[in-house]
Amino acid sequence: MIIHVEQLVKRYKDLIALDHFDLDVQEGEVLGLLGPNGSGKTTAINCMLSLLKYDKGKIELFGKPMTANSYDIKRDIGLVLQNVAVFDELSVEENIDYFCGLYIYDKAQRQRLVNEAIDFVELNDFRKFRPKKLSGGLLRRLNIACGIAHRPKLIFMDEPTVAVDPQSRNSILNGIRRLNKEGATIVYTSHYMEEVEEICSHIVIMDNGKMVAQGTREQLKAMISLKEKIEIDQIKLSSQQLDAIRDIANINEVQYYGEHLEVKCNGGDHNLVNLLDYFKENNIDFGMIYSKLPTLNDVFLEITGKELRDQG
Amino acid sequence: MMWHLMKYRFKTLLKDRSLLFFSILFPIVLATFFGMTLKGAYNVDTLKPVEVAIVTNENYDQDQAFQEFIKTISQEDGLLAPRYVSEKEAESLLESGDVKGIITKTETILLKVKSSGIDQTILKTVTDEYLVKSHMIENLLANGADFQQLMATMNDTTNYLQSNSTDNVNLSVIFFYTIIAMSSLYGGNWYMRCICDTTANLSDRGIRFNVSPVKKSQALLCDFIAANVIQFVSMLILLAYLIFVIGIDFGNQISLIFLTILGGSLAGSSMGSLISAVGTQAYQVKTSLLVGITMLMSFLSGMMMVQVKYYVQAYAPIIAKINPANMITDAFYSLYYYGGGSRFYMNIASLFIFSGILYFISFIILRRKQYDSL
Repeated sequence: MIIHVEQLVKRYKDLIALDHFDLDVQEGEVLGLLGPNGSGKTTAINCMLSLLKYDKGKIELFGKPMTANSYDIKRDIGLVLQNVAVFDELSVEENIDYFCGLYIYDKAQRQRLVNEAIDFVELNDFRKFRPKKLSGGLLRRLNIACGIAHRPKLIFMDEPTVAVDPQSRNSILNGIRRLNKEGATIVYTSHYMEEVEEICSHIVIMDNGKMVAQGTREQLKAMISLKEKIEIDQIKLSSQQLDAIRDIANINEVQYYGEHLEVKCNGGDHNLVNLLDYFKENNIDFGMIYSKLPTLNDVFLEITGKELRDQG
Repeated sequence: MMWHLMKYRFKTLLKDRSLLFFSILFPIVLATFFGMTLKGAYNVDTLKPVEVAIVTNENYDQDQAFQEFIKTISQEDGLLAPRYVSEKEAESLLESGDVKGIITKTETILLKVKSSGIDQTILKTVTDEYLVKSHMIENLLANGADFQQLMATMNDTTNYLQSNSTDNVNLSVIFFYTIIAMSSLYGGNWYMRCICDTTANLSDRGIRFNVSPVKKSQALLCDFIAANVIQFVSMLILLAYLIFVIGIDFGNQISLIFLTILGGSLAGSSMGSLISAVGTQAYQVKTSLLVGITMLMSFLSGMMMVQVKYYVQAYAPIIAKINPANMITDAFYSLYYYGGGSRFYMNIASLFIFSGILYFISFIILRRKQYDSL
């Protein structure tokens, strides 16, 4: 086990940021730590890295207790922060060299690793550029390179794709897959469920400092009653018709507002067909219709009663 | 590792434009302005002869001794620049400001002035001295003194003031000392920047650094060396500018001047260290704090008005004793006026003690590696 966190408690005066939080991460996993803002994701990571004092609990990395003086453990850790943490005065290459040099003392080895890191994040054309000359997406890539250049075995990535354009985001996510393929264990925090669903092999959902659910993507979705969500646009329905729809098999929730119908189903394989049959029999016209499988947001919503999206 | 840390620390500091401006360029600009406006303003050895009107009346024409006296003190580089005119012309010259006073010989000597100032005081002193000495001579002659007794009495003066200073005293250097003091303390920005970069609760770079396997004491030491070397060199640049471009004379005790600059640099660096260690305000806020404190200290040491320095020493001497800006300016005073001495070494010792205490307190705070919040 690469990470073992047991009953972690962290308080900020009267606020409980981590409430008996448990976490186990196996070697080779990409663990997604999912939760809304303020759920305790960053606090959990900072405690694991021994940056924050905590009130109770146990933290072990690589099977050893993690403390601020655990320099041997720190040698195998990489960190990609939520905010870009580089020197404006140094070029791309110099920044990566500096941070890599905090871990790797041999100059030849470090030079090789720096070149590999620059290739990895595709910043070859920007080696001599200073951070101020880079776009947001390129800055994020530099931020990643500074955190992984020394080839750590365990990488913490705290919302690395915030405010990044879609192209750069895809590039970053592909890079994370490659890192994992090369043997790194990754703890990835985000409030973007789509990213977590895409790259994480194991997901932990946090809320109010606690783990509320964990498992693979499929395991988490199997935990909730919602199995399918059908949405129909530009449809006009009477109250009797809405009641009739509610009576269709496997439909457990119906919402109708502004000519938009949303139907949630808790099972069954032919829910869409059943609905379409009803519309046909009753000569009901509609615009678009689409069926969606439940998302992690739905998992979170059902478990906590709240949306996973940024709550402002 | 040490070399790696120091190499990049030198690079980041020397490429930080705002630091370069405040620590090197701004003092040079200030010194240039001071040089243009103040240099020579307080030179006491450039006193010009006082313009005075001598009324050429009958009493003046008959008093050979008085005429001889005026002639003697009006020679080249003398005290007076007399104009021999009638009474009416004298009044006109005084009214127009062409002369500072009117001397009229009657049975005694009358001095008329229109305002008060250094020149008018000189005229008063000259006329009073003449009257005293002339009465003295008349009394001695009336008592039958011979020439030798007369000369002995005339030369028998006691001076109760002892000059203990070097020659060529120039009061305008006070302002340049305070620029050096201010620049020394501004230098705290260099070390402040270093500490913010390596402390987790002060910057994201600090978080990244603290997660690495580098010992904090190592980083603090490397940063200490880099910041103080840069600060010392920037002070030397300022000193060279003041001496060779502005033309300020700091005396000729180079080693003691360097010692003062070293003490000042350490004091500034230690202030930057303490301000960055205490509290979690943003780097820009801490910089503003250092600048504000430095300006206050410089003001209290006489930068804007020389008199403030003396008021503080007279009414709040404890502030003068703990103000590093005052320690630096006073050390330079001592060097310039007295060539060193115990007062100089007291100030240097105070600077080092001040620095030591502040460094000690800040390192106690900075050595921690875990925080309550980030």
